Amino acid sequence: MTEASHQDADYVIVGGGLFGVALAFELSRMGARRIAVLEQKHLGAGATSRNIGRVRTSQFTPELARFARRAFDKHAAMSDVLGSNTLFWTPGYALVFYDEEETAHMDSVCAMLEGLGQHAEYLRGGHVVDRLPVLRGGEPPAGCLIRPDACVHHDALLYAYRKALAREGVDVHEGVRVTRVLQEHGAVAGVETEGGRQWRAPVVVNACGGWSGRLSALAGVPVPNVPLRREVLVTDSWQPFMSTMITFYRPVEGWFHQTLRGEIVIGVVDPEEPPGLELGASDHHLGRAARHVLRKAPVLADARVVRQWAGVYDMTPDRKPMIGPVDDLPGFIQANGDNGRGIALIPYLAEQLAQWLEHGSQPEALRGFETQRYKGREDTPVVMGDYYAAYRKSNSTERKDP
Amino acid sequence: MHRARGAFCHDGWCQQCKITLPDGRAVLACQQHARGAQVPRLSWSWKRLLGLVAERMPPWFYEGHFLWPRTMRQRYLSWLRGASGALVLPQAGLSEDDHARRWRRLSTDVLVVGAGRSGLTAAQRLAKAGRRVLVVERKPLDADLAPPAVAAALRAARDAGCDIHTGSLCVGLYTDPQRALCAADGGMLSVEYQVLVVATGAYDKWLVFPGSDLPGIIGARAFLSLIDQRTDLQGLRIGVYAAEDAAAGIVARVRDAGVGLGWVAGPGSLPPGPMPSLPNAPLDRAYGRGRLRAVTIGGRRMACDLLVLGFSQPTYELQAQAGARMTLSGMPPIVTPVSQDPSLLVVGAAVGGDRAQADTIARVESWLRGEAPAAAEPAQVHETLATQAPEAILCPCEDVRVRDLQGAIRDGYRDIELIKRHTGVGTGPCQGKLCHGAMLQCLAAEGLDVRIPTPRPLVRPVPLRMFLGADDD
Repeated sequence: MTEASHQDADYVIVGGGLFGVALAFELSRMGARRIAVLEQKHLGAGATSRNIGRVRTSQFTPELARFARRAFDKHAAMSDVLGSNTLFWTPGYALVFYDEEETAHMDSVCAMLEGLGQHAEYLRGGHVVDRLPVLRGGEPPAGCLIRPDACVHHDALLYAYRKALAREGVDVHEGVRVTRVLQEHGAVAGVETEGGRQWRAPVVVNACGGWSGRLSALAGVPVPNVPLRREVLVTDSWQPFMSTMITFYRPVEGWFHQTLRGEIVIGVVDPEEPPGLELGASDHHLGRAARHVLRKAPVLADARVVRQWAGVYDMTPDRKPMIGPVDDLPGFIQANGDNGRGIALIPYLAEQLAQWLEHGSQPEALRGFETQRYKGREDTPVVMGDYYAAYRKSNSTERKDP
Repeated sequence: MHRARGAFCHDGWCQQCKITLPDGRAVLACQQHARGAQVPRLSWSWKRLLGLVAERMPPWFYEGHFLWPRTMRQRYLSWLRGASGALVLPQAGLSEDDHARRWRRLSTDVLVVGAGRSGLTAAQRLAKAGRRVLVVERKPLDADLAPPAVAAALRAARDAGCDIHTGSLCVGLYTDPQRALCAADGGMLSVEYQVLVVATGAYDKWLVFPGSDLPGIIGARAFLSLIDQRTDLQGLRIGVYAAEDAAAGIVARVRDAGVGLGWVAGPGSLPPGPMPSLPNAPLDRAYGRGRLRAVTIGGRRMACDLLVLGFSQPTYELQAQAGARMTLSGMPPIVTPVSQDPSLLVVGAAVGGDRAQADTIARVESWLRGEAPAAAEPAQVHETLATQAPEAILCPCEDVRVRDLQGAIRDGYRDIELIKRHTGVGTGPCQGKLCHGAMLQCLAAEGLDVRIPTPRPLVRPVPLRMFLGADDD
């Protein structure tokens, strides 16, 4: 496609990851017809296919927890909505704690979750290894079991959306890289892709996840979002011996669980990780994962690492998504800032955003995720490192807001 | 994995023969056999019967199934998970040795991976040219036990001042700065380098044809090592199917050892000999229930209990991690890296073919003169067995068949990254060493981009315990 040509649409969605296809599907379900999804590489090439698919309701603020619960219910219905099995699996989720301060802090979080109707079971002493035998032989933790938390197969979900889109007649254009955001009379008019092809539409959605900062920059829209690498390793398959998905935050944040296929996936965060679009895996992660995970679950010592990779989170200062129109550039819609919870929240976020775009008024559920909340302070730094510290900081800045 | 699989490569490449020993350890059977242990047989169980049903389904069989009644969905997933044919994870926990491991960090001008004759020759030449050279070798290396040519190269490399680390398997390359990670018993070895010399040789190439995953089909290197270990092969009907350049060597080695060969066949011409020979004949199919009984070659049925496949796949994993592009070349096609990177030098059998010492010396000298690496031979892609046998297993780690790949492509999964995720091809413990060749052939036959999925560490599976002892955090 070398000659300049153009195509008209009602919606141009940039980013063929989960958010892009989910939004296209929801819009098309509501009757929108001319939708173009543009993906610079292949379907799910960014963070979507590097995912591990955790759908957790156990968020640390009531606002996010309430939203995550609705997102969970949406996920539970997705197999029926899409007509294809997304391998939505509800083995439950465990937070395990290794220091007193943390245990005390999580007491209140569990109480908050209970208050929202979650089943959060607080565990202490020997009860922890009784319920989570994989931790036997490791350091004694306290813990919190949260149900119903789930895991979904990210590829199964993505391909289920793909099939549904094909049925709806919506095309995902792969290998199409956006080079320019077209603007006319102070509003968005479409995008131009490599080769000079124009996709004209009154609405352009930025669903580029970790790459969203680039598109925002092309559109001249300042954002606080930064991409952040997160590494994963996977072992060979074994007979199922654990189902609950485990997360810990001290001394560093990390998680592990056994997948439906029997592999063990592990990720341990580097608190010093600098922001950036780095997608290579590091040897440091192998050392960090072995040290922190084997200290907690020495039975995993013989699982053999077969592959490591990395994905990127799209981080915002307050750990909340950026969803909705941008005031200064009418027609430019942000659909990013998922802070590593993309797969959990996206089906619901996409449904709500589609309603906003089609009906024109902001749904109640998306309050707090406005793109304007950082207006004038787009340079607010995203605090990395300790998970709790980031939460405390973001909550305290929020309280100061008028 | 519910099918009986045999040890194909006897060297840890193919990862098909993982078993549980009576003491609970999970090991590769081929590595135990070498030590004289009994290899337990896979017994019949409900899981193998289930496997017979599962075999008929494509990898994406779950898409339209296991949804009704809705209340059973979670139960279905638990059942599916429980039906895994994987081994039980050993529960040994950590030992004193594990806690004693320490990562070591070294730095060098040139890192040579592989201390065979070629690697050592290259190391010695580069050290003579004034470079600091560090050599890593996965096996133990003993000048008194090694073949004379290797022993001589080893002494020469040591004399030239090369730092040689044996028992260190290079598993991954990382950047910023460029470094290689090697798994060694005492702890990981991380080596910073400016130039990487890959001398990791070649391994037995597995062919894709119906029945090619039956136990009883082994690689020529594996077979010759069994002969070297004086393994009792009496009473076995042995057939050889080998490439033109490999057949004569195999036949000579077998004759010298006094082992009887039933027949020799190959896609090209064959050496003259007393046994029946089938030159220029395609390998159509293997037969047997649970183990190999016969094959058909060029339409003729040949009985055999052991089929030796004499084809080579040069190692390409490190080159791929270093950024080389993969293509197909030769017949039957092999995965071939293409790279013009001046900090990557490949020598020996890893280049492809049987390389003499003089070839290694010429490559090193040319590299020292600053000449760009020779361009790869043009890729020839032929319509071959792999794409003509839809029911053949293409990826034995994940039981993906040729027809599954073709079906995925027909469904519009036209990028290798999508095909990989949709079918699971190449995602098992061998990480594509057995299937990349056939995978690329399928892509080529459909007119798609011929490339392998993003290469990532590790080159081979390494137990988590081996990574203990990192000094940074």
